[in-house]
Amino acid sequence: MNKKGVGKPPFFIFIAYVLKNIFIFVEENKKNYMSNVIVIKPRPLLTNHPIEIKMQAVRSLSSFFKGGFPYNPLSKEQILEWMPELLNMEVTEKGFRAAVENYFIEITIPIPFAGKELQIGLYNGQPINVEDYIKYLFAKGSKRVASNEVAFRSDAMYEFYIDDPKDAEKQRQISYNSTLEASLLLAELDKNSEKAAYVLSVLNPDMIVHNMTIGNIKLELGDWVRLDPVKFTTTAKAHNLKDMAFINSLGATGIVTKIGESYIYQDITLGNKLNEVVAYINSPANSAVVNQMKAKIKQIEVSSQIVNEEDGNPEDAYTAAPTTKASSK
Amino acid sequence: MRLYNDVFNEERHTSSNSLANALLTKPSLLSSTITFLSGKQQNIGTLPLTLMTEGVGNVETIDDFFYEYPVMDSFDKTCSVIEGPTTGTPGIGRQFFFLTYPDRWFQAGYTIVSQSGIYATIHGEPEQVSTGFKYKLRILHSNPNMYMPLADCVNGARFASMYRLVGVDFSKGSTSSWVSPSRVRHAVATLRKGYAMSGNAAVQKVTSMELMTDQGKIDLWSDFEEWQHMMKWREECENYYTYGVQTYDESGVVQLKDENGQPLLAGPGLLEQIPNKDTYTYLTENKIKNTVRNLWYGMSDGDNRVVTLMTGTGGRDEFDRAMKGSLVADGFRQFNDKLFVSGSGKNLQLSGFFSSYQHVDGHVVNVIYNPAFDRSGVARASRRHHKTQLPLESYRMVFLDTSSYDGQSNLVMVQKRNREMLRWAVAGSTIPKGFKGNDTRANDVDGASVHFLKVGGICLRRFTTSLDLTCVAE
Repeated sequence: MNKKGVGKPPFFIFIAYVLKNIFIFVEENKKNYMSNVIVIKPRPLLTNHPIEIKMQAVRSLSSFFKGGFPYNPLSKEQILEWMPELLNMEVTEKGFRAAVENYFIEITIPIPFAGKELQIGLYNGQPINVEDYIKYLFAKGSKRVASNEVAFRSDAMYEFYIDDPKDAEKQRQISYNSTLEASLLLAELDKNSEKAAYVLSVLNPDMIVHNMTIGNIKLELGDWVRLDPVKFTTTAKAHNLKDMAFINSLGATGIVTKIGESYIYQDITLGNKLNEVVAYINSPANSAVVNQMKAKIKQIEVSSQIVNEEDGNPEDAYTAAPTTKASSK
Repeated sequence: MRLYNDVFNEERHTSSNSLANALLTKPSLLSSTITFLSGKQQNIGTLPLTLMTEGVGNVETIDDFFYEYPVMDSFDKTCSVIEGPTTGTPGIGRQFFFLTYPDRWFQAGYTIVSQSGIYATIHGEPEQVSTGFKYKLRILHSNPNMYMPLADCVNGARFASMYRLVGVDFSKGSTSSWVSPSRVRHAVATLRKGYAMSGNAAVQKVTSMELMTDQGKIDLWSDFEEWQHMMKWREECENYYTYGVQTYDESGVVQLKDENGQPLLAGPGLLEQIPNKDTYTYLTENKIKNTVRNLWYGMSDGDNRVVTLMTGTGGRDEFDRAMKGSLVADGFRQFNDKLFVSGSGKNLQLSGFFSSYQHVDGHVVNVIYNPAFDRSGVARASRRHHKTQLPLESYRMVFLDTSSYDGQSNLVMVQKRNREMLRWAVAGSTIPKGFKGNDTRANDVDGASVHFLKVGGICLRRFTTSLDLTCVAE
């Protein structure tokens, strides 16, 4: 009897067994890693019922019409891929299409007081839990469901919201990135007071920036970075910033009247949108009108400097934001 | 004053057409009775909530603006886990493991069961921690390899208390938790309506038409107008009973004030009192079955209940379609058994419409038509159904529990004593009909005014067994 021959098969089987288990372990861990449980939460009842009663109330997210049909959030490919398993039917089977339609007619997601958990993680591009994922897509497509708590709190028309911890994390990251970018731009503006005044003028169209000290302009910009870093960054990066600041200063000083979206100087319509006004003031054909407006704004700035000096605040007058330069292009 | 302009006829002859153009012909009056283009106005039929409460004597009279009634939930409740082990196999080999619950509802020594059906016994009193009460548990099973699944240890996993198992000898007594009733408090609303008529209008001569009312034919404009106002008043009250909006917050504080700084106090209408809400597009028998089951499932007295399904024209149609759809889906094809087709030969008639449904659990759903869902202001303003062009409000279905509990109707009208229905007149030059008067008048106006006031509301005592199902288009 060949002892070696007897020993070999169990060894390979053992190795295969170990490898298989390692594979299963890795795959399971991957699945766990990809897991993403979200919670759909309802708007709390505002009635003065006892809390135990409120906890019993069930508001369901069920079928609704969109474009004249019961809403179906799935693409054709997703239907072919996911629905056979869910309906326990073959795609080729008679009545498959009707069964899919009926699924979305009868879909009901009861949302209890504490919320409804749904597993929406994807593994290799496929949902870990198909039914939960479809319900998630269904909820996401409803106008009654806010995509996050912030949107939910800001609009009383929403009845539910999606509490997605990963989305919240993503939002925090986006918020961090935008704040960082805005802060770096603010640091640049700290050395460029001329541009800082332009930026504030565009951010606050009604503010007469040339009456402000550069210190105040920077403080105002600091508030913008804190409150709306995205808008601050977009404005600071705008390529026609100087022109827009000029137009806004015309509006803020009353030289130009804004009616709706239209800008009107005396009886001349400069444009019906901001970009049209930018084009107007950059056109050589309109230089006479533009010079006239510049002269008027200069006059207002000079008179405001005199007022500041008479008020005994010469510092303000001499350190005033150089919007004058902005308007004397 | 010229009533209309001259008409110049350029034709060289006169025809009946040219005479008609010149408004010189007088048409025959077919009838002096008004044809109501929007349907003859009836009073009580359009006021189902008034009919179901005040109409059958289901009225409670109170002395204050607020009323209360005690409610009680189930004697048993489940508790959800706050935190527990996140790895391994908790409790395997009969080891102790710990779960934290928000309160100490579970008592020492008791056996509790998880949402997966795994039993565990509580050892000792729970320890109070920052998030709740931490319980020491051990799996109750003959197999030592049994453990508590991690899915039953995560936040939100439900547990329920079962029984207390003790040793055969020298066991000690146990303690028990208990449930007390709580109270629901609501307010009644003050509703008003008034109208004024000039002195001349009040004594106006007979109109050229016969004016139809549910009181018979009349020909005095003032009587007809008064009848209209009375009917509108009842309709406005019904609007509040159905669609009323609660004006106070959770703690009963009213933030809304009128122009005199007085609080606008109003309790919720019927729809706002129903906490269970759902939507549908096309109704199916399955949807009704599940809806009704969910309402009553697990209730100790939830057997063989009669549920009133209030709906409009669209909803009634959907209900019938759902029932017939279910028959077809289940393979029923028989139609010549005089259920759906009557008559014979060339005189066949398609009929047979469903208006009731017996649930497999024994409950009966009766469809009741509520005209408010077709004709109220909400219905008139509602979006239209894309297929039928009926208001979406017409498809609203309110599963209303109109049962009686302990001899008391579940749906009652609540009214403030001596303010149930006040109607008075302020006489000027004239005294409105039906009011006594003398030569001394309240004011110097050439005319008079009439005013209605009611302090009341609708109360749905057991609101957890009703559901508001709406057809929604986004």
